[in-house]
Amino acid sequence: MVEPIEWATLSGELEERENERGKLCLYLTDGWRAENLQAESLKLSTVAINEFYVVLRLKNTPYWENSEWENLPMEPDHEEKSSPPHEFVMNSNPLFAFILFPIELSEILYGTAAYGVVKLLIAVPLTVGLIGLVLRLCVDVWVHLHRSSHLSKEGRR
Amino acid sequence: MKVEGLEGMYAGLTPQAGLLIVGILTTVCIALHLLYRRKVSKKTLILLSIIFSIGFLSSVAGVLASPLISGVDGPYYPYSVRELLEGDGLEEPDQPVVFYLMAIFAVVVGDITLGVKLAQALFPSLFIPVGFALIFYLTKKEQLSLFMVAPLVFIACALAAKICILKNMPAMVLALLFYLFFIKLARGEGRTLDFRIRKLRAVLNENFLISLFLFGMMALTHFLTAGFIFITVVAHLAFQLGYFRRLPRHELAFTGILVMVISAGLLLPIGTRVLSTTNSFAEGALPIPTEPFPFRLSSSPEAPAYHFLPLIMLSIAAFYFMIKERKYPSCVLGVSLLTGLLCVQPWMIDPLYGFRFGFLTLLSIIPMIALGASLTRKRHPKVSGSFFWVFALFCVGMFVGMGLTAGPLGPGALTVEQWEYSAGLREQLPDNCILTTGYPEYILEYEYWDKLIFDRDVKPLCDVEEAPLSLEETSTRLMDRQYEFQQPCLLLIPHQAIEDENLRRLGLKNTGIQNQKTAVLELRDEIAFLTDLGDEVPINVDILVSLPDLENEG
Repeated sequence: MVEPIEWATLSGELEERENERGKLCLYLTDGWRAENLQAESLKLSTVAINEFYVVLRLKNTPYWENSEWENLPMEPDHEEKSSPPHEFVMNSNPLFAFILFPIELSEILYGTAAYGVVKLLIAVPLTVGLIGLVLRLCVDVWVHLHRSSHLSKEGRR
Repeated sequence: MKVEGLEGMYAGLTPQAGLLIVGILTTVCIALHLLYRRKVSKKTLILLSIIFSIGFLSSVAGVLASPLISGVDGPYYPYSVRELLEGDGLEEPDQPVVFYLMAIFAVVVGDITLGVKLAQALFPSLFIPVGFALIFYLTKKEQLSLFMVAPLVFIACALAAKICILKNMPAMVLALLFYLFFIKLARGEGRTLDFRIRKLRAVLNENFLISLFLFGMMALTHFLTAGFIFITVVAHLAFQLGYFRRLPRHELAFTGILVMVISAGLLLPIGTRVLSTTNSFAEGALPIPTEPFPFRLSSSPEAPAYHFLPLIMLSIAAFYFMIKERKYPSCVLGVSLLTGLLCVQPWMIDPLYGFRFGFLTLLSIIPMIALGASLTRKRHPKVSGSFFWVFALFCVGMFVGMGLTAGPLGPGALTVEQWEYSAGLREQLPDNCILTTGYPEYILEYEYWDKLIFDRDVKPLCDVEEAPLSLEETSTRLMDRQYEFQQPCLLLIPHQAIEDENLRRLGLKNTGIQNQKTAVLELRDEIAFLTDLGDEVPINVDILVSLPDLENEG
């Protein structure tokens, strides 16, 4: 059968343990036991209390002032997404360095508020425009070559 | 008024639902009749109505095959509709169109989940009449247009039953309509409006205003689709300049107005959210690779762009014919495909979201294939036929492939058995408590299942691989969790896990909240009040404990 510590000896008990361990010692017991307790006269002070329990300390303990409390989250935690760091690297392929130039240039703005808008709303359309330009150049070269070979055949005839 | 289906399972097909289905069919058929009675033959109109009806009814059958809500982000929609009907407002009040429509459906049929399911069936089916409108406008051939939209029945059914991203789908229908009116605008068609300013009169015609209206509706339905269409419009201008070396006046004026409207919209409070979302999409992208050909068909193996490969190849061929035939305005479709393929690159946006852009390429692919088939019909009839057959085979393949996919539908989808573990507890649960569990039955992959079924998140006490925890371990972790949050924590646990167990010894007690498969436990008061002291007691202290009653109990 476990018996609680006597109120009269509690402050002495706490003081002895604090001196022994060099840190704050508290006393946790059932709240109903502490009803009508003359804490002041027993050199005790209440740290926390609820419907079931009470936590007491020595009133003049030197360790109380340096105490620290844990920062408990009041709301359930949620994960925050972190984005990977970017490196600004120019594409080594000359053709794609040309086509992707607007997108690569927009990378300079990485981390700023304008980055997403510039990359998606400006760099992408410009890239499509450059694809059109390259396509047209290819078609022109093809037509030119085709016409020259056609003309040379005509000339031979 | 009593509304059923509050937790993601529909109660049954009600007579009101039947009436709604008939009402939708009738409305669409009447609209088609009014719009096309003078443009196409009666036979074509009847056939189109039949194709739509088959598409819609098979989509309804597809979505109702599973009693639970399904599809990508499935539970999010009934949850949002329930919040809306309960007067709690929408989580995304700036994109409300689809939610209001679903709420109307839910009220009409008296079942939230059923209402949402009917909306899931409707939007993919609307691709059929809208696709017909665009294809018929581009090709002017009734038979070809019917042939091209007929296989869409398969795609509509597969999309409705298996994927159905409910905000994307109506926005994609609006986007197809937008392309129709934008191409008309680019061709300079449409009645001009009687403006006094001559320059305005030359530019502002009915197609201009309809395109602007459709863009606004799209923005109110789904930001991403509207954003994609805006990128496409600007890219269309850039492509015209790059390839055709001309800057078309109508499109330039339209883009200018669009930029002004969007800039004004960004000044509103929602603008900050749109900008930060755009930024996070872009910032999550990988760095541009330095390899010679950095383009990929998809950012992940599951991305739709990868699956659409045969159609993309056909579309590129169609694009070639469009350019060869000098169909300037129709090039907006080819540009849309290029833009989609560019945006799907993992170095453009966060690879997690790439699939959505891949999906948006579908918008341009189908009309492009139809136009390609039409352009090659006279000179290369075999090539033209192959355009249609590859498309038809793809649609059937998609339908069969998705239908054969085993298991429940949609990411994080539940089986009915899993759902039964959690259902029916929501209204018994008190406010201001945190739900926890150490059992895999309640660790749901998609957070909106938690919100739909429990009206709050469930905080697992362990990873799903570690579950189920022993009862002792569960009890210890529950104490830790309650100490950590300083709020009452309830524990979801299957009945069979607590049979013949001495809960009192483990510091637990039954709350009496339960369903057929699940009991809800909490910490005994003596233990709960101990954890409550946590935030008031300093750390790094020694505590002398004198709790004879607890200690004597063992």
